[in-house]
Amino acid sequence: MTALLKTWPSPRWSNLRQISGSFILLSALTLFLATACGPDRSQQETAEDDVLSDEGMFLRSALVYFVKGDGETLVGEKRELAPADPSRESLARLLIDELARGPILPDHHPVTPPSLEVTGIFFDDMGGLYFDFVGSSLRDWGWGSSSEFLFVRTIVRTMAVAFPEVRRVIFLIDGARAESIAGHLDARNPFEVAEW
Amino acid sequence: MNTDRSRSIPVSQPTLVHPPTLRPRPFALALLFLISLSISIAGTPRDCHAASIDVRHPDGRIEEVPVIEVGRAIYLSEDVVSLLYSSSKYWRPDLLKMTLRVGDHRLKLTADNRNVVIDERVVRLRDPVLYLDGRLLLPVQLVTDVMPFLVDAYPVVWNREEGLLAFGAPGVSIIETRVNRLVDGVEIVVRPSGPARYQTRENEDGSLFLRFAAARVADQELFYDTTDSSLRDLFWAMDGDTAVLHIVPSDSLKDYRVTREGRPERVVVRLSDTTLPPDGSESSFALDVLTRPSTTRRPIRRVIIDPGHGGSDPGCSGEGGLLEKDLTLALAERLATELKKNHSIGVVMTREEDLDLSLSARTEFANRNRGDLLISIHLNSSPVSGVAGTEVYVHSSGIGARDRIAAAVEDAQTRFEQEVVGGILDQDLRFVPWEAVQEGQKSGSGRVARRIQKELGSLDGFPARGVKEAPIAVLEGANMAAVLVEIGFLSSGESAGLLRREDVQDRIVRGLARAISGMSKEGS
Repeated sequence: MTALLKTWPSPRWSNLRQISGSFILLSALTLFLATACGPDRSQQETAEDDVLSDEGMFLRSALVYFVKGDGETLVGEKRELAPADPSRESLARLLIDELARGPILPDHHPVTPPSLEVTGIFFDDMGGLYFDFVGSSLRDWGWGSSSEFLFVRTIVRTMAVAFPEVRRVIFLIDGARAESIAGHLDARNPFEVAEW
Repeated sequence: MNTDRSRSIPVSQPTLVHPPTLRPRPFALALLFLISLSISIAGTPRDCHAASIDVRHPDGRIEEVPVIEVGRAIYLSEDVVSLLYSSSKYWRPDLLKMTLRVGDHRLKLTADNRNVVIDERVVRLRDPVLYLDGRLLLPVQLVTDVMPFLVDAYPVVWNREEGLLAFGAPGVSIIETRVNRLVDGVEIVVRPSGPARYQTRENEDGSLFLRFAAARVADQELFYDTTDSSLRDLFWAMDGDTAVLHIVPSDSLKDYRVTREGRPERVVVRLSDTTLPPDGSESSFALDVLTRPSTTRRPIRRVIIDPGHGGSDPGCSGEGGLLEKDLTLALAERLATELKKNHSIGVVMTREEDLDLSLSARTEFANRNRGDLLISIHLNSSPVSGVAGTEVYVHSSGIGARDRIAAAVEDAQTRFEQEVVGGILDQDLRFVPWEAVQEGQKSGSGRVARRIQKELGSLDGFPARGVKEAPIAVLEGANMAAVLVEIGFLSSGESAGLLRREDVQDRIVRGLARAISGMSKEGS
């Protein structure tokens, strides 16, 4: 069977080969410190159960989608997010903020207006996720069919990956169903995850 | 596993970082120092390899994810696992402990510890959780043997030989089975997680078997009304690794057809009390029933031209303040003149000045004026400035439309029946929901779109980007062939420069007119 475990070089690690001698001593010392000077056990047990203590933080890894240079292919960038609370709405809001903030990598392109603002987020029990956008925050963006298409695709994909239970995404503008987000795509009906 | 291609990168044995509270214990210190020193000298650090594996998702998508190979064990970073299971996490860097929330469950993981606390239970793994290079690493066994049971998800199989972590393996999972009522029968929609091999068998008693090889039924729930008299029985059974759907139709359903439909992959069984049209018909049977598209082509005598945007909606813009709404109006006026003058085709425009017009008002206007073709003219924009070319859109209602249309028909029939004197339902009633209207015109729309794409794609600076299907609002409900043409990208400086030029505008308009005129002769 052909080997399918693909490898890549890691220069940072490979340097360790050269200092392996020093490393034995270092690991011994670290192990020594770690074992001998370990944390107070009773304190540790308490902290383990205290999930919401101030000393740690809620984190959530998520993929936020942008578009590649061909203007069509979506590409995910990983984010470590710290929602204010563990609710899905909190995370969804952060994801929209990340989309509006734009990509980190230089060959990726943003697909949502930087001013994009959401007033309401709602998950229903049927796999529907509703976003209520501020209408004015959608202006001043180069809206064509392509950019509107990408706007919908990236939001739907980002949400579907973060919340697998979401089957469709519904966009409202200023609290109401709109004909369209930017004059092309029909926003009166939900955008199905399976299609977008 | 053949690791010849792997590049071995020796790194440290995973170790704990500094704990928060130091409490010296002199005897323990001396003893442990000696032990750890002897371990360090006697043993060599385990080899760690940075590598990657493929993850196959239930929908068939394959994704490459990084892993760490420590000895024989494969480790995934906690952020990768969090993504795979959509889990939130709580990290205590001071204690090197992490709590993952997967569904309603909590997994407590501790660095360099084989024990994982799941809710109140402790599960012991073959390999310990590791902390390396600032990341918590989780053994693949956690992903395959422990986590799937928490979320009642697909089986997860790690194939070491192929370097493949498969969700939903082996083969495919049947993730949904739904029954939809049609006007003259029922359809059973089976949704596998990916491309599925299936066979249809018919029994002498009229029952059908749909056999999906190498499949399992992930969701045994069948979405159908058990009081529905169209089906006497419907259930799934496993025959070895083959999932078998048993369909026992009522006596009134005489004909059936099984088709494979894409995006998402699904197999549709349509049972009807009438003879079904032959396979390969362009639109779905449900929509055929609803709209009865004409098989004869309509000649194009009147074109409704819709200049996109207008009034307070400027559309997109190009360099130098070029507005889409102005350019679409200019191009529409030129096209109207060209069609009338040189092709003797009648034209009506949805707007002849800069005014606000809703999308449904444009479609209604086109229907009221009994056009044979609606062409909505637009200029495109992309967040990527270098993108250029022409796109032509035709309408597609999408998968949700089927249910909405069926519900609308049922509602209307119920209402109509109640309103009719004597309670007799007019057998000639043809109720066509708004969403279904354009579906009946789809083949004509597609032919126009392809012609336009061919004509405009031959112009310098406007490469063809293809005919695309999408739920385009202005095309929905148009009772005629209907297309939306995105002529070029104003976001591209070069395209915007071309689109300003009158000679280029003339060439575009002549190309559009040739396409429409060609269709006029052929019929839409």
